[in-house]
Amino acid sequence: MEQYLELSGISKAFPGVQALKDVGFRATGGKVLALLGENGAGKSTLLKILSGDIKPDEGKIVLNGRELSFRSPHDALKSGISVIYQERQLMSAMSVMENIFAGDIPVKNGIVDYKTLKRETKKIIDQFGLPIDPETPVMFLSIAHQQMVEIMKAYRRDSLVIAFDEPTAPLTDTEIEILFNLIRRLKEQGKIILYVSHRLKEIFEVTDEIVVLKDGRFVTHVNTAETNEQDLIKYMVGRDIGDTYANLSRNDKYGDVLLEVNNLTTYAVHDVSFSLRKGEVLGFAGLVGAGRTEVMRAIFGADPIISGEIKLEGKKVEFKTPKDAIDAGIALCPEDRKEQGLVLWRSIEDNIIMPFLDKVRKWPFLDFKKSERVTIEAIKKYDIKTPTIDKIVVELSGGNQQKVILGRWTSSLVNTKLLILDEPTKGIDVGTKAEIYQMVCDLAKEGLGVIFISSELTEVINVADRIIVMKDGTITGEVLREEATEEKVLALAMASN
Amino acid sequence: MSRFRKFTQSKSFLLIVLTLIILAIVFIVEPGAYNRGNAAQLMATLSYTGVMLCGIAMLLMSGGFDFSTSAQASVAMLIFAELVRRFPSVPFPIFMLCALVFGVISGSINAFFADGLGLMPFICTIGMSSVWSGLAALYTRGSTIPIRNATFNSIAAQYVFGTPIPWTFVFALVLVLIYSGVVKYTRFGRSILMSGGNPTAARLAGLNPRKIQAMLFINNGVLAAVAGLIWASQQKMGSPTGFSTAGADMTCLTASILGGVSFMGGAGALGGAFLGIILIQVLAYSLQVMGLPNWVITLINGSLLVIAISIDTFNVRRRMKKLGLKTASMGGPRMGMPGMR
Amino acid sequence: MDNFTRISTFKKAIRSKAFPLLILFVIMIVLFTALAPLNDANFLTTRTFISILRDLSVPGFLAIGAGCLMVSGGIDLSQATVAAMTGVTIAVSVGWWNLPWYAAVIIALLIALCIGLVNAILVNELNMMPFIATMAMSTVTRAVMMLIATDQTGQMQGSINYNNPTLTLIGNYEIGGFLPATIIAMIIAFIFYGLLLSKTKFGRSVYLIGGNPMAARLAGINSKKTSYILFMNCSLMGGLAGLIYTSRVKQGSLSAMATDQFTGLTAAILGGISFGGGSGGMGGAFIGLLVIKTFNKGMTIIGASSYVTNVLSGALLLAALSFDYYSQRRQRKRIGA
Repeated sequence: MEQYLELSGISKAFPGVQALKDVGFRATGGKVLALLGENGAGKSTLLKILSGDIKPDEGKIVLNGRELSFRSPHDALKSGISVIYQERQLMSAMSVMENIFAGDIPVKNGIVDYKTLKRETKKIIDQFGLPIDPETPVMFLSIAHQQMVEIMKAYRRDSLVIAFDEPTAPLTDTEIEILFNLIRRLKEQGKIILYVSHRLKEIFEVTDEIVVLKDGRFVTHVNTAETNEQDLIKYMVGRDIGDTYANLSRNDKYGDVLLEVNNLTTYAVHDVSFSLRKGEVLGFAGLVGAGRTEVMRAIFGADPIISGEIKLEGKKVEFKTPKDAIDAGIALCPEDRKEQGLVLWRSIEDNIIMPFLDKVRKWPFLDFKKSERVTIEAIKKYDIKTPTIDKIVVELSGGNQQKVILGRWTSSLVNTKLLILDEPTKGIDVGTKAEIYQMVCDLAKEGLGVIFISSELTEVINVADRIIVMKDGTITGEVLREEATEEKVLALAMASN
Repeated sequence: MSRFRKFTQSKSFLLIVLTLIILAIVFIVEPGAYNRGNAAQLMATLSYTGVMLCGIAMLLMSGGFDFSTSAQASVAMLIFAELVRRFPSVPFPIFMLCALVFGVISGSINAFFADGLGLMPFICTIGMSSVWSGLAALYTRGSTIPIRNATFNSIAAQYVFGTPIPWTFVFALVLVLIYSGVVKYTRFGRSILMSGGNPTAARLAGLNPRKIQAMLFINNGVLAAVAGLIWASQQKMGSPTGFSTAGADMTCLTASILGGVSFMGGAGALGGAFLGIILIQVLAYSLQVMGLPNWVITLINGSLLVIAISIDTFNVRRRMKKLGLKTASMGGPRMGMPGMR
Repeated sequence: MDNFTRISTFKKAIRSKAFPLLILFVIMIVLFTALAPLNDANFLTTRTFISILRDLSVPGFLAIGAGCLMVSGGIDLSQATVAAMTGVTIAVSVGWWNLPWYAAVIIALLIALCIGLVNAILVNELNMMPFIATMAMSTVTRAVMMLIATDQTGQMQGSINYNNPTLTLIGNYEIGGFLPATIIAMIIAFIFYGLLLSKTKFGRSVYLIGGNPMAARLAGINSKKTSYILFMNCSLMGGLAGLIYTSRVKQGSLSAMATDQFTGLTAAILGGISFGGGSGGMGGAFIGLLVIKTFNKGMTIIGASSYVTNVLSGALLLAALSFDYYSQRRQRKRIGA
């Protein structure tokens, strides 16, 4: 009998966003099915539904003819569905073997059978061919090995359905090779494998079929052998996005050199040098964990610099804290908006005036008239959807939240010279994305230097004027927009040293 | 690495060495302190704190804590003492059972607040501590209730074959061994560590961290009651303040951390914790015997906790740094939203 | 037509967590007034209210310190011990060492500040969890207090008497013969800290740090400095409470504040300063405290013993916590977070 997993009519709405709308497809045993789509296309939500973490509003999940409904993640596991999340869920103080066998530790007469536990773990580790000691606490493993332990956990459960969510992000080439061999072996065993990744190269290497999602909707289901990258990208982004890029009104007049970074080295990046001119949009591409964020944090004074120098408008600067950097006219929109960018439970107003409390002061109090004026300016400028300025930010949609951060750094309170945007479009719907691209170009026209970091290749090569590619904490290349293609950038991002 | 070398690098070894050093210093400074009475008294203290430690350390492993342990112990022994006084003709073991039942109830209340509602265990047990000690004071009006049952009172005065070791100490020791066996060798024990270490991961693996912690709260209540009974037998009375003035639950917390039970839940070593409590009590007792004032003992009690945590944090950081890993934030000023576990 | 302006202050007040408390306060007054005659007493008198306010003044300072700290996401369990220690230090300095009263006060408050500083160091530099660190510091403070209360013969005294009219006057002076000056001082302090939190740059940064310390740091707010200030302020407020207490009872006592151990904390939580920080304010803390103390007073007037009050103080903390938890959950549910 052929094994299959069938999803039909899955819908899920979050406040303000329809994450999934009527999505359905069928995955069969012995094949690897790729789930492809941009950020915010609904892949993660789909996986969370599959793992029993969230409940769909509508829709059915059928495994081999049996309809499943999950009350908890455990139900999903029992039904034979394992999801390997991007965020590792390990018990860091516990040993590798106990992490792998969590929940099913072998016992003999009620007593934990450490011998069997160790032997079985060793077997799994040997199948992966990795040098990991079963008894080490996982917190003392490298990030790549921790990820492999996470994968071993799912492998051990011998589930019928195994879903991988961006499994390769923290891995090095060796481990990626091991992982792919494993996936091929699982395939031969007739498992149903779902594989979520942004990396087209991997998808062509390891998958058999591809389901493309876009804005929470099903787009197409194709055989990997019968398609190519161009088609996939077309499916993923739709035609209108191409137009968005073409219609961007860009800045073409650059000013003097604004930022010069020479041989910057920190705990995470090595010997990074680049420069940026006023009015230029400089893109930073690379895989997740390539060190792009760390470069920006170092420039912003949030991480200590080991060696190297930073020049702002020709003058050497040394920022000890983010405050120094802000005072010098640098602004950072951090990668994780909710964790690092915003104070979610405070008002829009508070979030906008946050770095400039000094400037909205009428001694001894804050100048509330002024802060109100500034906030309303930002709301109007970026068309933030809100009835009042004291609505708490957590109630806004992702796009509007991002606009609040942009509004903060470009308000009339501040003379921002350099704007660093780290993954500004993450988790934002397509319409707002286009707005943000135009805002970036407009800011460049105003003479700001903009650094634009993105993991979405199409986005970064179309918005930025010049693209720097990083890998493993070093710069591997630089391309101009006119010459940039996804292949070229990807090759640099994955270059083997 | 050989077993012996591993042992010499462990926390337990360090604790044993420190205890021996303290004992040696006392021997040099105050040789007269080595007498039977002192030893018996030290052992007596260790027997009830040892019992209490089992409950608290287990709870810590699951990421919880119970500040009301002392108060629960007080109420339990007061219930016992009062019942014995009122009904002298009824055999007392029945009332011991009543005290234990109280432990189950008070533990369940803590479990309700901490795991049912999801409040922070540290804070809501402070509230329960006020409630229980308030009730104890309310009922007794601050005075003690003498116990006149000779059989019960003689329990704590039974010594192992003429040595100064009371049977209650042996009982505590056995309890420690049983509980460390549970932690090390049973599935339930491993689940405690897992749910303390990463509740989300534990949940994804099909465990129920809240239920596990709730059971440990009840366990802690029962063990607190047992500790209360031991104390009552030693002192031949029930007292509303006997435990809180001794700060027994804080001592157990310090001992647990000294012994390697992480206060963030997760890693656990009950044997180490027991060695920790021996060290603390020997230290306190030695200071007393050497005639040092009370405030020194209190000071050492307070600072030991801080030092124990610092050493713990420092060690993990150093090891992670050596491996070139970024250290995760270990606590920090933010406490996180309640109920979001 | 929306022009994005603020919600009116009135609407805000009604929506705040402290508003239901105000209703509770009114209900309590009605209830106690009705029940008091059963005990041959009268609740609704000026004397009752002055006496409630007088009861408020000592824990009032505790609530101010604890509240400000909690808004920033911190917590201090050593505050009440610091208060007791301050009282003992003042009594010893004046009673045993014959120092002038102002020198005694300065020394005592400096020691209090030092303990706050150590708390801040443990939390900020050694990254300890605040409640563990401050719980340990509470024991250390107790040790310091015991050391100070040890006389020349090496005996530790449970309470230390002193005789100094000026010092005694601080806690007992009554304006016009009926209105205690400490009440005025407490109200001024509440207003001062209320304005500080709600209207100044410093106050705003306290809220932002409490809401998200990482974002605050990346927006250039110096959260370490703020944390140091708040921990030290919390201890200083504890010290002031101890000063008033010791002045009022004319002696320093090792067991002072035992019943008010967590009153400040409870009032703050009850008044809407939730755990994890970032919300609530001084007004709420004041109303929270008012509710607690009115309740205690009412219970006394209708004839309940002081022991009952002790039990209820713990129950109130639990009730406050549960209430805080529920309002947070409701809010989360509303926005689906």
